[in-house]
Amino acid sequence: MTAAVADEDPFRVLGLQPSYALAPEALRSALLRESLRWHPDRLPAAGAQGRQEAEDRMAAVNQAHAQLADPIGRAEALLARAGAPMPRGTDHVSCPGALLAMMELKEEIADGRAAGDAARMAAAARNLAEQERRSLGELAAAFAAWEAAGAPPDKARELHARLAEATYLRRTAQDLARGVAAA
Amino acid sequence: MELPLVQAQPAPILGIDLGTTFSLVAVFENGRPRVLPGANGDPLLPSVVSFPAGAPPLVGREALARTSLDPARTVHSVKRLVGRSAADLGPDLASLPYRVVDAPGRALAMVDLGDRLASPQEISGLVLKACRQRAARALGVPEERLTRAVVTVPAYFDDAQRQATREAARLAGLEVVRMVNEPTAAALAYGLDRQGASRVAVYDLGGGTFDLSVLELQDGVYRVLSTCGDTRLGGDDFDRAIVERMAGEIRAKTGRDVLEDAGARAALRMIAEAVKRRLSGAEEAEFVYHDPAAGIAWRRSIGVIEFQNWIAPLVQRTLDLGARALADAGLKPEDLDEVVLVGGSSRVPLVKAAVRGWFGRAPHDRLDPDQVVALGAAVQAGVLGGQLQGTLLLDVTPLSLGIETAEGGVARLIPRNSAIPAVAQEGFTTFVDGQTAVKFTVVQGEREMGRDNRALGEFTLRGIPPLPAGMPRIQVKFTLDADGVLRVSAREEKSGAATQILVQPKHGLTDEEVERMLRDAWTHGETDLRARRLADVRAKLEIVARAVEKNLGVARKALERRALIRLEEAWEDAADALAEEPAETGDPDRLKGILDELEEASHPLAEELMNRVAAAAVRGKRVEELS
Repeated sequence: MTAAVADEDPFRVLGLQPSYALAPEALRSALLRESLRWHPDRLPAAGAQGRQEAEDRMAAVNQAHAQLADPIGRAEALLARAGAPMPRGTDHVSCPGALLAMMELKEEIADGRAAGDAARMAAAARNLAEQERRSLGELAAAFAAWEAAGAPPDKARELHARLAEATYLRRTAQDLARGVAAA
Repeated sequence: MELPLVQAQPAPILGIDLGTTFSLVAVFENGRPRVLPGANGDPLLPSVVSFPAGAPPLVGREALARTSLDPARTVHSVKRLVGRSAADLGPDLASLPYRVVDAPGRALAMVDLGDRLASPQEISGLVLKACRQRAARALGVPEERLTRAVVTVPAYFDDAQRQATREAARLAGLEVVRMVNEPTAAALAYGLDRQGASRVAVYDLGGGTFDLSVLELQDGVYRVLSTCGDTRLGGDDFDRAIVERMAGEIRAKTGRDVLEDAGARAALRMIAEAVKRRLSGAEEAEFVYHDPAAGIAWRRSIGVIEFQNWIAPLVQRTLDLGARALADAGLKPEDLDEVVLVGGSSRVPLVKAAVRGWFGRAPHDRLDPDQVVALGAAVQAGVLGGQLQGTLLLDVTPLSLGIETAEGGVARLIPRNSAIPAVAQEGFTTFVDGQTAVKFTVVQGEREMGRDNRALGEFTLRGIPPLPAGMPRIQVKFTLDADGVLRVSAREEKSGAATQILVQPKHGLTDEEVERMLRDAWTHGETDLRARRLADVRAKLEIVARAVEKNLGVARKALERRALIRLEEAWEDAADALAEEPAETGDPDRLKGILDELEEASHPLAEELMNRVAAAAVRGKRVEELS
């Protein structure tokens, strides 16, 4: 039962109009509205079953909010709605160019660390952040164009490569941040 | 007919702030929270329990009075021990006047009273029981009717510490209807009479813990955006900074180490605390310590600047953690409407000045920092009791929750600062061909911060169909309820094999367990440990040996001759050792030595395999097509 809730379209869970350019304010008021409706603390008189249902429902609301607050999560939700969900675990395969560039950057940062050269590490990390920003910008533009054309399902697959690249860049940046923090 | 009417009313839910130094109890009545004073009129109940020989334990002021008299059996700051092992506590231990040991065979700190061990749950339970008695007297209600409570905990408490707090309440006859994070509780009290929308940070520096939470308040909804903290940083550390310096100077002058004596440690700590308090208003304070028996008469004036230099690194640490909480919330200091100071230690002028510098303007310090958390607990009790309809608290989980993977890394299912209740799923698979069971270790914490990473529990999914490694699809699901209690389930999708656990932290215990542990204390502890170690080492060695075996073909083609010989010899040794050291009686040390050598010898092979994977990915091939 909960699994079904968790797989639901996050736009529908929050009662929102699907759109990549979702206004943060709209997302926030949807969260508050659904929380006031479903949070278990609002139903102190509910029995065990009612409480469990409220817990599940509220968890789904929180999950939907977290997904839509994230540009990559939003993109994934829109593609799933269009019947072209992003295949799992394929991001690095779909963008070999980005992979190569990232391996070089990783190496640069590892070398910088080995040499104790903080400036070199920082420069590489900035470079990576810059690429991530660029990639997210392109992703937003591509979704805007797609939605302006009426979000045709047959064109949804063309967005996969951009989303794969943005996902891969983000993960690399997170891995590096963790590595830098650990060092 | 007044009597039946009174009895018909539901007994109030208590709001309890179980603090490191002091505890308070409050209730929500007539639309307001109210702190209940003790018989002496003081709302603060010292969180101190003393165990006089042959007499019932004392709690509060009476216990506090015995601090220097009976230091080994008078327990203060027990909150620092809750849900912890003696090893976790590290340097904290040396400064305590009482003795802390691990429960036999377990990673669980206990206070050694000399004639018996007392768990932190039992000691905290006595403090909670005193709160309950105090409420019964103040409200004129029989104690048996007060059975439910909202109890506050530091936001940065982990699962083990929360479960231990719940157990303490159970020992006091209280069901915890909700555990509320202390800074969040403070925000509830702060926002009670406020309208409109605002963003606030709550800076909560208590006796033993620090939290900083960022919240968004809007029309009665309190939404926590992020939280960060340290459960081992508080006003106690300011006292300790003074004690350590004074003891050092006394040692330099007299050659005597006063800290060796428990009574002296307790006395110095109390003097230091008084000095700290005076320095909140005065430019200097006298530190006076006499011990005629030891021939010590110490008098030293401490200036406020000097004191500030001693504690500056601690205060800086709170600001660093605050910066992380803000970054997690995606905010900058100027995005905040207010910073609210909470906790007795926020009275220290350097703390106020530091927060002002960080935030760019004066913090809000008009709430009573000692009482605000208890008031907030009572507000939440009012919400859960149905007396406060328009108020809702949306909190987050402070620490990431995940599964330790076969490679030793962590797959995070629920990242820190996720809103609760929360649900998350992740797919896993097997590591070895034909594997029919997978052991999962549930961990909490941010991996890059070693001491915060804790193993919450383990479970095993059995009945997986024997397939080649990587083929089974195992879905692991985490459900975190509004109380922050974690449930974990795992399911293999092809066979439907499923298992479900409520995570029982290894730091938790039941009353029966305590008794049993005491009984067969030293007889089994040693063997248990050895058996576990043997099983762990054997399992790991089996995995590595099998992985090497599977890839011997690659090794023979790709490795340089000397590396290959070393690898083959190490692999043969491993196979022999696994046969010769059975699972029950084998020698873990021998296996460990062989495992170390095999891991070392397989490095060149691992590198070769990694290179192949990376090269395949670059060529756009699927990794699976390789092997």
